[in-house]
Amino acid sequence: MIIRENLDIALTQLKSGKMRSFLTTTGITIGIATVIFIVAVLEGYNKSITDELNVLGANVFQVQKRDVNTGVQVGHGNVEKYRKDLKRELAQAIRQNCDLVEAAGAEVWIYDGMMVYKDKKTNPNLWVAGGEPEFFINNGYYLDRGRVLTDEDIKLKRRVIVLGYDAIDILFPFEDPIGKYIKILGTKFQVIGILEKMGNSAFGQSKDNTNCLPITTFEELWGSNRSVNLTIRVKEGVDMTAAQNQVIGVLRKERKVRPGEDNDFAIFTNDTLIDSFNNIAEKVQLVAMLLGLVSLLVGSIGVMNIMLVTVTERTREIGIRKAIGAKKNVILTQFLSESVLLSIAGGILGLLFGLGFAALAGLALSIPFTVPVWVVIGSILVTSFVGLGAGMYPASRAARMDPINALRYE
Amino acid sequence: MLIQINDVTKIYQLGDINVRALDRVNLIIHKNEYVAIMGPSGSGKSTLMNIVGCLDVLTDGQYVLNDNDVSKLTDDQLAEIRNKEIGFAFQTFNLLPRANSLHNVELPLIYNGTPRNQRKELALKALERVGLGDRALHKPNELSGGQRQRVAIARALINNPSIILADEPTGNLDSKTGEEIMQIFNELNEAGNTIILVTHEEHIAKHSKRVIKLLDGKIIEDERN
Ligand SMILES: Nc1ncnc2c1ncn2[C@@H]1O[C@H](COP(=O)(O)OP(=O)(O)OP(=O)(O)O)[C@@H](O)[C@H]1O
Ligand SMILES: [Mg+2]
Repeated sequence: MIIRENLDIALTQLKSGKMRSFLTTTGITIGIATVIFIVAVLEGYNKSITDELNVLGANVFQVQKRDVNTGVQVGHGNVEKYRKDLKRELAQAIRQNCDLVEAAGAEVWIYDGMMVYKDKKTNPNLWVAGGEPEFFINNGYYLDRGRVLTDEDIKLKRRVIVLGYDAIDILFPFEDPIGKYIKILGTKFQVIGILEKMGNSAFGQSKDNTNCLPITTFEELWGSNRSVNLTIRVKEGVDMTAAQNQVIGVLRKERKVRPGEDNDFAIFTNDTLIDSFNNIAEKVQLVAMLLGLVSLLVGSIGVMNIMLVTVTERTREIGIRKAIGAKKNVILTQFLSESVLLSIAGGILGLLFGLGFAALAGLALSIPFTVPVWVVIGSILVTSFVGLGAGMYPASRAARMDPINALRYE
Repeated sequence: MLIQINDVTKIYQLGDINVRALDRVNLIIHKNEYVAIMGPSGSGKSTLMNIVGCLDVLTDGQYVLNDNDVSKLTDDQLAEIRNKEIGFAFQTFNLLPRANSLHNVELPLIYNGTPRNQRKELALKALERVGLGDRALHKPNELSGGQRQRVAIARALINNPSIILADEPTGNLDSKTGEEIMQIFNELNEAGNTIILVTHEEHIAKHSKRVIKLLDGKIIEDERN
């Protein structure tokens, strides 16, 4: 009963000083908004990344010359500077010597491949890969129409290409691309296939801007001085680590790494990528929590301060209430409700801001907008506790006031 | 016997100086009495009222209200007594400035747990009793001084207290309005309420049935009209 009255009082009080209440709670608002924003964005990333990396195939791993700095590496690599390039022939060696491997393919990439068809041009922001037949399945690309590369294409260094949808959209809005000729860096290629549309990745990049031509053609035209990446698909039911060890053994032998020396290449799996993402996400989340905590602390000092001011300002009111029979606890809960409500109001504002910005960020980064319920409940709980903590001292000061002195207060 | 004050002393300490606001006061007030307390400024009238009203605690002596030794009670018990047994009307009205008349009047009911719908009804009745039924939704600053004092009296009445205490209730009002307020006290006394009021003015004191005069914290005169 008294609780409800006190909430009424607190509400009218907050409404009568909207600006003041708003300013008081900025710290809390910012704190909650930060945490909510970061958590929601990370959660969104997490969802889309897991979806996405799973598309790449659970039993695929990659070998690169260099460590990817976000990647957690399997085993130790030696100093990167002195590493030899990975050669296309290594894929062949793996295919021949690793019975745990289903398919291994080499691939190289360029990023500045502008494509021309008649009077239409793409921006030079398409990925053009030189790949082998294994390229598609190992990277999680599926064919929409036409055909993918064959061993024959590789052997004969055919000038054929499989296009992603970004290129199709620009070059062939109204025509059937299959069989048509496009130009890349002055060379003509015949379009033999189209990849399935995939949409955007978790990092806001299009996944449809990948295009693939035979790696032999690639090297013939643009040189073989690039280190290749190897994508390796492990046989169904085979242990990933066992397969990796087998591959590592073959690579070390081919590259003449002496026993006891570190690998001169790096191995990645989807899991290591997810792990490394989670690793980073965890750190970011920790930092966000710390920032939020600091803001909340600042906010709670603000609330405590304004509550002290309020209690002093309303000394006479307290005197009146006590004179007509309000007990200590009633006054205590009255001011506690006020500080809790104030904090929760700040928290809800922060929640709205945080979610709003997270939704915008979700749109911009094209990640799903997800809000874990625990975050919403948690922030309301946390702000209530902040309100309780910040209000306790001022409220108990109000509760302990002597009625006659409070009434006399000018 | 309603109020029994035995050898009550109240000393205020101001630094090194002790102000003896009440000095061994003895006083008995019965149910349904109508008492006026008079005396020069600083003689201890308000101090006495505050002690009778359980707002202030005495330094020495004993105060028995309705057979309860008040000096032995805790703050919360005192609050309960103020809520149930005592109705205040102050010179400065002491209404909550942001609350309307109805809410001001129902306040004592909130603190004794009366359900909401009953509260509104009782508060409205009390306002009607002081002739302010049509001002229920006005805030104090939308009321005249006399009307504010009526609201305060309605609030004092609402719990049917044993005693109504009024410290210079007409002090801030013109004489005509003051008379109107006194009319209300007269009616309340006729209806059976015990009334104690502080006043400087003879014509106000005339309404009462007993006049107590204070000087320097001592009762120097106690007369029945
Ligand atoms: N809170 C206080 N602290 C110190 N001295 C006080 C306090 N309240 C009252 N006094 C002193 O006690 C004495 C009695 O004060 P009280 O207010 O009871 O007088 P009063 O008879 O009501 O006077 P008035 O007619 O002016 O209202 C005065 O000398 C006053 O200075
Ligand atoms: Mg006085």
